[in-house]
Amino acid sequence: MTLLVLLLIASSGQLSAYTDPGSGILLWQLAIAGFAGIAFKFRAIWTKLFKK
Amino acid sequence: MPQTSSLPSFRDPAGRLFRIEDRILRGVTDEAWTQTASLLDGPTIKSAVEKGQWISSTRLPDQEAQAIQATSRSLSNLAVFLEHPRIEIPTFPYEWIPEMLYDAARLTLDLSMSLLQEGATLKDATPFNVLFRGSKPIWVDVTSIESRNPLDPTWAAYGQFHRAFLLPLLALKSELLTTSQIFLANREGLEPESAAKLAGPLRKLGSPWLSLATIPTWFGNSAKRKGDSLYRQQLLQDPEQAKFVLERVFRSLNGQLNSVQPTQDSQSVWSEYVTTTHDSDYYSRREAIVKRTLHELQPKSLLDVGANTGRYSIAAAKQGAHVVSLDLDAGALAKLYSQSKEFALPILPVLGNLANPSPATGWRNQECAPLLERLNGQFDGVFMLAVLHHLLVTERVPMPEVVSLAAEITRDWLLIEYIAPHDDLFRQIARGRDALYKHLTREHFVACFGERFDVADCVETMSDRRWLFLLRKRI
Repeated sequence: MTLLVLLLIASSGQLSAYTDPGSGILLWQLAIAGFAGIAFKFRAIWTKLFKK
Repeated sequence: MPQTSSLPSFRDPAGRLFRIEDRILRGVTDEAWTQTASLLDGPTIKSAVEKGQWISSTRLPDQEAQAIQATSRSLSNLAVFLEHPRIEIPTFPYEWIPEMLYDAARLTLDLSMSLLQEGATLKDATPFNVLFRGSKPIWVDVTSIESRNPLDPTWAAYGQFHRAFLLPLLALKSELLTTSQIFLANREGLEPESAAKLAGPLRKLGSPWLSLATIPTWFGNSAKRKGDSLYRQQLLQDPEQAKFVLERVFRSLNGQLNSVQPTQDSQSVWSEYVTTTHDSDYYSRREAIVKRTLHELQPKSLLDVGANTGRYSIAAAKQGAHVVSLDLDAGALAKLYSQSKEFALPILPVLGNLANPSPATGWRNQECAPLLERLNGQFDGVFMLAVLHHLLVTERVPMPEVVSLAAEITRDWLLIEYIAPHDDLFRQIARGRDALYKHLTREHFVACFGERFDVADCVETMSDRRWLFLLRKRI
């Protein structure tokens, strides 16, 4: 989480153009979904290797 | 021919809600009905209907449906008509205490998680789709249900749930805003950007502000660079993976919802009023009169104005009345709500001020009716105990105006407490302006209320300063 926050601070420059309010929530959901997708892959590999 | 009138449900193209006389009807398009009919028969919704968490629907026979369709051109594109039971007094999120908003959020999330197992989902997650029957939330928008794409790992209503439930609950828990400040200003709730500003520089880096408001705000800045690609549906190739991911998304929302659950550890301005303000003899006398009145008049419906922690609302509900408990103190109502839930009592808490009731809101001011329109003429009896002096002094409402409003709200009787201007608490709220209120004598009270009511009983509850009047409305 700390790494994620630091990356975001580094990447969040001032934007003067229009930003869709709340679009960050969409990205946040995608980030959670991304982590869960990776967890699913790990689980599949784990099952394949150790639970035959 | 019966007249149809709209209710707040025109936003969804799948159908619309309308009223014919006292009947609540919903027209659904053919396409939407094809998608939703089987889902409404699924185990999640069947169980929710049985538990009173999802509004029941009865499909009207074709002949009756055709007759209804002919009543208005706006109904011509609707193929199926459902009838729902009427929720006597609808209340809206800006009249809820935080605990009610939390329970509505819990219901929304639990339904969504359960529907996932049936390959379905809720496409909306707004508290305006939830009403309260007593202290129980009930989902009322039946066309919110739809089949989910098995390859989609996201929840379309995620953002709405975040804005309309999580962020408002967070702001409420931190005592930065009230439900009326949030939902009267914006029915969609709070955006992360405005929530992060509210939090201030330090708090926004702590939990749960960081994950609920601050990171989504930072992501919002990054989202601009992504352009339209952000809104493209992200589908996976494996339905099992998509379901696994969505379950984790819901689990994460569940954790976030737990983190913003309201706590009842703080004392509000009025929640300790009954235990600290007067001697116990006064309350005993008052309670005896209240109970006697309830026993003699057996109201089926009752409005308790200034209900506080609900001592008298609970007494009325235990005797079988459907009670609406109005108070402006969220902490006091939270105690009442907790007891009402514990003992399954038919008590509906409403957070509001009789002197400044919630207005009509929504599109053309027609989506949500004003509070008084929903209350007027709905009650056999009304309690106004230790309320009148606040209306007269704090709110500076003239006595005849109070009489007129009370006569509009009650169908039959009013139990009201008169407090003389020389009473200590009266003088306290008068703040030294005693001369302004010296005309508010007991005789003045009787004369004003005598315009619309007859005095049925009058009992002194505190020597020479407080009286309880039972008044019957003159027809």
